[in-house]
Amino acid sequence: MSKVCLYALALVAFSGYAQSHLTGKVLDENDQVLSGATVMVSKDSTGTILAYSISSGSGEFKVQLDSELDSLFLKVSYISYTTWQQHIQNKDQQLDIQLSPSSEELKEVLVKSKEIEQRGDTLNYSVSAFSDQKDRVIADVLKKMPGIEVMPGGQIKYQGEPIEKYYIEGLDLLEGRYNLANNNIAAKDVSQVQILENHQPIKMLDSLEFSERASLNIKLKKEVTVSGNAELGSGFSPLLWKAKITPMLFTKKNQAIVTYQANNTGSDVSREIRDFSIADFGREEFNTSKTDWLSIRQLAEPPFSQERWLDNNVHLGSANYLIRLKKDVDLKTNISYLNDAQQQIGNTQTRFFTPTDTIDLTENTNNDLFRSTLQSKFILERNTSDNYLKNELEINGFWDSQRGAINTGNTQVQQQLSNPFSVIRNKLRFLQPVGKQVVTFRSNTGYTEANQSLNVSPGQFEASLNDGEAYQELQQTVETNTFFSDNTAGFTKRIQGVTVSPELGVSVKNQSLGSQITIIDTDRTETLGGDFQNNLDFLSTHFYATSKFVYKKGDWNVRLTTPINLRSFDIQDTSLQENQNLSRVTFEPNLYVRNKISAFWETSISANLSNDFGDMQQLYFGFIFNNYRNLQRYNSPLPENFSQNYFWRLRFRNPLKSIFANLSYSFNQTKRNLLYSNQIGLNAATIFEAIEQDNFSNSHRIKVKTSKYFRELKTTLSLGSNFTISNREQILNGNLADVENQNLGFDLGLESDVTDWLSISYSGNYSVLQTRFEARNFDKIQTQQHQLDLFFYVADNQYFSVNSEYYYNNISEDNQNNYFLNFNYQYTFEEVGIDLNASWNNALNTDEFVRVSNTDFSYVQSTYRLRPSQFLLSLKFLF
Amino acid sequence: MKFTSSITMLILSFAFCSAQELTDKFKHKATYEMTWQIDSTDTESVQSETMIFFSGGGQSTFSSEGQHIGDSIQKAYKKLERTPQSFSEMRSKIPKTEFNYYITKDLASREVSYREEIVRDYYEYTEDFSNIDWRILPETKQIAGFAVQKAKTSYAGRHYTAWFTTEIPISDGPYKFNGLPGLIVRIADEKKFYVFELTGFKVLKDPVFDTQANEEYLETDKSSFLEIKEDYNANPIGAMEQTGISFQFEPGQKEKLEKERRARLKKENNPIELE
Repeated sequence: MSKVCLYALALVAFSGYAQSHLTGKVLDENDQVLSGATVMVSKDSTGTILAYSISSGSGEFKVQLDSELDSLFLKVSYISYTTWQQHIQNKDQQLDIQLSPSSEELKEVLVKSKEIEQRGDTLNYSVSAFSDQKDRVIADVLKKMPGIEVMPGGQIKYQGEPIEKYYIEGLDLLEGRYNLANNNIAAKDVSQVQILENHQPIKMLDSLEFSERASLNIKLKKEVTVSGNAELGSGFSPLLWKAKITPMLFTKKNQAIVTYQANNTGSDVSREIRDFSIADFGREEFNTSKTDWLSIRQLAEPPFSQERWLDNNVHLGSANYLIRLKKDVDLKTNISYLNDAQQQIGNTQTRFFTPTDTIDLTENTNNDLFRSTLQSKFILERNTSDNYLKNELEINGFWDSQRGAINTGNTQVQQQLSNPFSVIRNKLRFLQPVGKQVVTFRSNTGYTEANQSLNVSPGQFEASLNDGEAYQELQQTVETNTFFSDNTAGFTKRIQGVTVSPELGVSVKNQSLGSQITIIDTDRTETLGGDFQNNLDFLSTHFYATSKFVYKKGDWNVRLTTPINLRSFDIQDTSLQENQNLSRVTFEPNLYVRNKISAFWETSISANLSNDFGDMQQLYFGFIFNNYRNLQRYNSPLPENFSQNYFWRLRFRNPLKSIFANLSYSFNQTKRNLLYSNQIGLNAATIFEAIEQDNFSNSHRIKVKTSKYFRELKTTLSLGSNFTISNREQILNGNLADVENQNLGFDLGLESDVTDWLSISYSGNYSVLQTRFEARNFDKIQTQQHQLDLFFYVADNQYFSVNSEYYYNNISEDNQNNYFLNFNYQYTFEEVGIDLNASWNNALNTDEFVRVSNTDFSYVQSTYRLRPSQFLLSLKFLF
Repeated sequence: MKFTSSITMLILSFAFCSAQELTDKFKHKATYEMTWQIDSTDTESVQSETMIFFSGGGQSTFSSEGQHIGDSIQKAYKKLERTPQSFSEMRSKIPKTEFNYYITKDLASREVSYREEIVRDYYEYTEDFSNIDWRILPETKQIAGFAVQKAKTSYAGRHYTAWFTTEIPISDGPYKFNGLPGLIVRIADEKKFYVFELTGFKVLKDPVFDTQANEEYLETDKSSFLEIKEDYNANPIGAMEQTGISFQFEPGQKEKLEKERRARLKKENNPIELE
């Protein structure tokens, strides 16, 4: 019995629990022991590991195996040595294994990094995680990144707020004109897009003043990048052409982007040099943007993409160069020249409701607009932790002119406008430590000039200007210039955890306006005097004392500025013997508080009071013929506006889950001392009046925006909504009446690379506008816009795309629905890096767009001629 | 990666930096993304940080990338003249990190040593991992381009699942984990409070800063170290004052600081090692 038992036990042991011991040593080519080698046993060369051992300090290994297999596969590996492998019998045995060095390199990997990584206040978006086959430039990828928005004009927003700086490898080459980089740097050259939250661009102030603004940094893959793109295309009809070449250089010490772009395909290349600079916090900047006093009658531009309607012939050249002279000292030059000839064709039908009648006016409009613009900037910047200097010299010249022909059915009106403008400005900011404080000096000085003229034939306003007699031509000339200078000195000091920055400043602005109306008839030329001329001097001086207090503790940031201003205005017109003087002391505090509630949540509030006063464009005593239907003057006191602004924001961001959201509410109340009213006379001419009466306007605005990236679906979804309710007082039949506008809008965006062969891009918005005039409701205006692009990747180097757009408005009688369709095919010659692109734009041949608008006294229906169905073939090179 | 390039720059600009600061014993570098939840009751407390792993000659070192870069910068600046400016410049370059430890391992002996500075003192304790066993499971898959196999173990009160690859025959991994027949590509505890994922692996061609050289370590054991750290956490100001650093507080400020600290500690209830 016991024998049987013993036998049975042995059987069990052999069949189920066959155990073998493998022992041995691992040696290198010189018979030295290798410790830390892995010894693995599997069933066969592809099987999973059954047992393993790591060789000890003396190179010995011991593997114990419970397996009934007859043969085993033994594998011994050591890093940088060739793996030893062999079939062995499943039995106890002793093996000495010698490994020989391997020249084979180990597989290196860099895992496609997380889509978004957070490092303190920096968010790193991985470009490869967000890009797909069709994406060529970094702007294509940027718009898919949750939390980041690229607006239709090219401005970049992070969490609903515009970015402050656009750095390339930490250098600010383009200042605010970052579209040029964004639309040309190849996505494949960029490793990461970094969002620098709460970024203080001035290193010296880093620990003294917090910033609530975000900046963006482009991290390139290589330290030295020489790249660029070129494109050449042609098509019909009419004959279409486009050309573009953009070489770029990025090294540690030099950066350059140069471009030449030209086309007549409706692509508005002036976007490339649009400036999105943000004014320094709490600064009152002089407006140096172009001011036009006179205009020809324009057509309202359609609200959808320019490529569908812009009839252009544009050339743009731009050269941008940055050199790092020594550590943290940069010299920058940005020069751009734009030449454009645009044509607008359309008609406007206006129905005026006069007190007694309705008057219909049809204007068939044919406009030619010519632009010739030179913009240049020269910047020297030194930004170190103990010194800051930035000097910025800007010289811009605009030599623009316009020509317009209007056919009203019974008359032909010719308009000829020359509207040049030039500006030169120097801005200096200087920070230097003196003892324990930082001394600040700023200076902003400049000069602008605009000598413009408008000729209209036949002459208009015969009743007022020529004793009721028809005449040949009217000429309006306007000569204006502005000198301004703003100089500030102050210091920044830290007192018990509070950074205090008092400063004193004075600013002077001296404007002059000269205008004349000349009547040109067959036999005479007469320059009108009296009320039809201006000879105005407008001097405003502004003394201010400001203190800024910044406090930062833990999750709290507080900033309070307390400017006290003394403003005085001295306005006089010697020839009209009119003058006005005004002095005001104002207190315009601004408070900002931010609290970081948790890792994901942040909230902030701000409140400020501000006063602003009108400038020369709202105060002149003689009439100016602004356009062929408008003769206007502002014979009224200086406008004084007092406003209160309150703002609350809640932000959420979870980079680990790729969710971004923000919610904001703002309230504004403005008190004005003047009311303007346009009244319509019996002959459809408007009578413009300013009435001195305190009046208020209020507006409430709620905005919410959220976006999320779904990793599994490779999809970025964004949702947004905004609601605005505003009311203001207006004169109606001599009485104050309340006008209320309510606007509700929703938008939805989707960017999806859902499969290998298809990617989808959708954006849509819906908005309702309701206007109420006292108790009377106007018709609701509803608009919808949907854009859907489908990209089919038929092969690794080819795609076919369909771009569709739909625009709807409810108030036009016909033409409520507008459909557009483009087809596009791209073939890439991979060896040479050339894209061949064929596109058929406006395949449905939608030829015009009609839009309707209402004012208090008129109903306007305007028609704009669109670009016809067109075919375009182009070659693109990336280098 | 921003700091890697700044290190390269530092190496270039301080060419006189002596060779003994650099070591060429490490042949391979791996980076891991560590994601952890410091408060087990609050899913919002999830954070992540890049960890860095150097291996060569049967030994390895593991730390946060921030700690490694910070120490490299400090070493480079040690050679420079010390001025308040260079000090503040150096401070501004040191990245933030939540982890100040270094973990070094010896593959053959499976000895793991843990080093950390607490108020000017460098402590070290050693653990024997040879009795930490892995259970190899038949399941395989691809992660980050590597063929990986599943394995399980328990350590310090948590149950871990690891995925390792025999394509890289280094029986090592992130944190203290080691002893599998190949590099650990991913390891996470069963509640996913602590997750390490391989994000890069490369062969080193140039020497790297030996960030641990020249320090005198006070040898202790794990339980004593944890006591010291607990004492420090409970009263960091006291611990600092003991070493001769003096503080001047306004009345009530010290108490306030302590209160804030205790509130924060209460939330940091989920360390990687529970026992």
